[in-house]
Amino acid sequence: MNRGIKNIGLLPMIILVVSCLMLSIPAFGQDLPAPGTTINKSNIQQYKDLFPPEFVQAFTDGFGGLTKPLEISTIATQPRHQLKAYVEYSQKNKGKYKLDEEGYPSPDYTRDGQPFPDLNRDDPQFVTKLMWNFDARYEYDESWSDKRGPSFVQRKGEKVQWQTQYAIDLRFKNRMDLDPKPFLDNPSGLYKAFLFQYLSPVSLKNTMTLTYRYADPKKGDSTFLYLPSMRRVIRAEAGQRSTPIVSSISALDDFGGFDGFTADFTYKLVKEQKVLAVADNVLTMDSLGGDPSKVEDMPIPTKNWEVRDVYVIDITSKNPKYPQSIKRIYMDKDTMEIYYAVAWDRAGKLWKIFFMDYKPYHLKNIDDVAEALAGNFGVDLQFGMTAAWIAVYHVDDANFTYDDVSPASLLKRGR
Amino acid sequence: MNKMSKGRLLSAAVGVIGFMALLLLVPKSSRAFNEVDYGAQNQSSISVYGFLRNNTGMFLDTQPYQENGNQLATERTWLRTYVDWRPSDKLKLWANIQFAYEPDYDVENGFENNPSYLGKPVSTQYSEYDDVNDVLREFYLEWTPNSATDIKMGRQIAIWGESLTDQVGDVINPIDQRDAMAFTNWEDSRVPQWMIRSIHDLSSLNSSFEWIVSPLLTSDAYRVNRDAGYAQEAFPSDAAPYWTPGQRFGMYPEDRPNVITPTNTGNYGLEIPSGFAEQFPDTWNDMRYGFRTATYAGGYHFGLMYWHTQSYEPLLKRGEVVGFIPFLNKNIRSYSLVHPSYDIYGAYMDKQLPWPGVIRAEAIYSPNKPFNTFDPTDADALVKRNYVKYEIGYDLNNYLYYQWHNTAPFDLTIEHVGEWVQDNKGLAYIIYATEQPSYVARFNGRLSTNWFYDRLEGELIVSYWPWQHSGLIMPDITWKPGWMKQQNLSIQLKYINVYGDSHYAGLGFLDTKDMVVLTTEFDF
Repeated sequence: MNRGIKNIGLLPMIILVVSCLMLSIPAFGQDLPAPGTTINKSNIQQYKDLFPPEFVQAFTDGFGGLTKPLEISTIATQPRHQLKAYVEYSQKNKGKYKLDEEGYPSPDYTRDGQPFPDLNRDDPQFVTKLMWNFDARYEYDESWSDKRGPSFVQRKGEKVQWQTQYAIDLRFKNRMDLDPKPFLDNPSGLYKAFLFQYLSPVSLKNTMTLTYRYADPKKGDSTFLYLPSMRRVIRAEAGQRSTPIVSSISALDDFGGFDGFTADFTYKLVKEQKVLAVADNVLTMDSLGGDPSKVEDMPIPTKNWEVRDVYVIDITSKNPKYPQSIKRIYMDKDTMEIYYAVAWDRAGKLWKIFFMDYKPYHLKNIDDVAEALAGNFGVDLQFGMTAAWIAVYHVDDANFTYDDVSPASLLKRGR
Repeated sequence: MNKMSKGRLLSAAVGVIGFMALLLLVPKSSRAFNEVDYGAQNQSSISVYGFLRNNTGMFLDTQPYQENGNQLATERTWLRTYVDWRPSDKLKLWANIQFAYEPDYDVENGFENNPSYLGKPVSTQYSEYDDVNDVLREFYLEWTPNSATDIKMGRQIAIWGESLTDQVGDVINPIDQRDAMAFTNWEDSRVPQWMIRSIHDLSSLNSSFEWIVSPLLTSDAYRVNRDAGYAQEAFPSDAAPYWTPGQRFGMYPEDRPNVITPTNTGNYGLEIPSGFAEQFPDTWNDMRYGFRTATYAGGYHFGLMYWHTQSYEPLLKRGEVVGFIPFLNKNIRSYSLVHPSYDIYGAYMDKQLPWPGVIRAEAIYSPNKPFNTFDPTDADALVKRNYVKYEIGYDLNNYLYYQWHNTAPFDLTIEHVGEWVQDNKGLAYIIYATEQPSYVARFNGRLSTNWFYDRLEGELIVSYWPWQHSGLIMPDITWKPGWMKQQNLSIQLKYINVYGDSHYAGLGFLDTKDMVVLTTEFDF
């Protein structure tokens, strides 16, 4: 009897202990900070598992003295999601596509909605399909940054240098907010166009690049270049997206953490974890005084860090010459935005770290919010240089058309 | 109807067709222009910027017929200011104002006695402060009635073409060649012209149509190429030739004895010129005009162009015998420098290749390009010929990127340029008693990179002409010091080497111009 009672009593106790142990595991590995917690050099070890291991040195020594040691404050995790209207729009693709031998959604996917809206975690091709969904995630119908949107670089031991630029990011498909939607007519079969114009320094002023990405995912990008000294539009190489752009440590593939051609890479889901990241950035040029020439330290968001659930994915190029042997990204499970990207060179040596922050914005004609990239920070650890960019965004308020991003438009914008 | 009349008729027809096309292209509806560069957040509607630049260069050779050993090639200091005023989202006023100072150059001592000397004191030959054509380089009003239309009216520079290392379809503006050696970029050496220039987007065709009308409103000397005088005989004489030096960047003179030049004059020639008065194009019939299309289809960017213009390089027109010098037993004949009109038709394309690289190509054809001829029986020593110039280029950018140099790629451009002229017999190559070949080829290349994320920039430009094995080699390196928060200061060191088997062919006419140039620029 007693033995029976003992046996009966032991089972719940075992369940209780095991449950406690299971519940305590996150506490051992990921000590979650309460809202309002300040994290800095003194307590980073307590929260180090909430960051990529390579990013922890931002707190300990500012990446070897390249920046001031980072100190951040946290907020409670907020509910965030992809734009509901777009998730709903993508449902039409449910069960419609499979990955072909080359890794493209087949048959005949043209970036109309996310190709795998019913993606299941148990799918053996989960991570590759996830990246195709990432490729077609919703950001906005259009955005432009005015001339106050600066970028900064700082070499070790030198002052912060800065430049300003104007940019248009226009989407021709998957438009949810602005008419015409979901398609904006264009004669080139475009998915999106990105126009980038340097406004300063004077040596770069009015240098412009225009990049087209086509709706056909198998079609390579096109890039056009306007050089003010030549006053004409010339076609630029678009196939190579892995080399640093002028006065930056970032390559085109590094934009937003990862902007490579999805089928050109292989993907491996490393793990799922929680990270501290900034999804509601409050670091703006206004908060810095509005004048980039007055910025003395590299701007990194220090407020509104919150715990986010992410997929950790290793990205490897199929091209053996690709300069990054592995890029590891940390992608928000809810918003599909990338918070961190860490890159190793071909020799396997740690090379670059990128940190992206976001800002939710309310759509103009839909009662919902979406996340837009609000800034980024990067460091080339091998060379010893940091770079940052702060968006001064305007979303869905200009009604751009193809004429605004045609190659001929570069001539008009040039002097 | 003579040939010239037919040419004018053809030109007028092309102009009418272009104008009719323009009328058809006027949008039927307009839309607010989305120019957002000066958005609501930015109240500034005017920006002023520019540079202060100094070029200091030394020749590595003495110049032909130089009267001393001085080798200062350039000591030019410029102040250039750009004013960009946008009173509204549909209007923009642009000005490019420049002042330049250059000292006397000892290397040009004696140039006052050169027949091409125009009378301006040497000390102010190159300084630019007292002529509106120099000071107000550009000044135009840009009107953007809608996002598909853009019209610029005023003094401006327009650049067409695909070539990056040569000029093929780039035929709109004359060139200031007085100091247009390779250390000056083409932007600075172009001579702006008054023109109305408009670009119309044809979105439904993925095309644009650009037209230019350029009445000749600049001062005479600014309507055509501004050339550096070259060494010449001041008083042609068999007994005692007296050579005067040219300007610093004048080409090598035709100083071979007993050769027949296009004019049969000078340099031991058969006749004595009475002078070389230049007749600049100056009538409404000389108005320049043309159009250019641009279409993007199937991964190709291509288009057509037409330009009616004059020969910016002067040609010698033989006139009447106006006298005789008994003791030399030679006639005195009048000559003039003229700029005959001609037409240029062109086509161009570029494409991103399926493999790394971009290909660019362009070609122009002129049915009536003027040349000088050696033929002594020709009435005026001027002839017109069918002429073709083409370029095929390949750019390999962002591809040559290595782990040992991982802050920037090496960028490579290779271009082949060819010129063909029908019936080249007796045609003169520039000023020389050298027959223009029916076909001339050249190969140009540019390799560039930067180090330490744009702290140091380097490039190597080479050009090779198989004709008389001539060409140039031009490496340079630019340093942008780190203490300037906007990279305002740059210091460039450039070496220029021009070579050739002959002074009178290919690029050899510049082979005494080897030099080292230090360029310091402060941007503001």
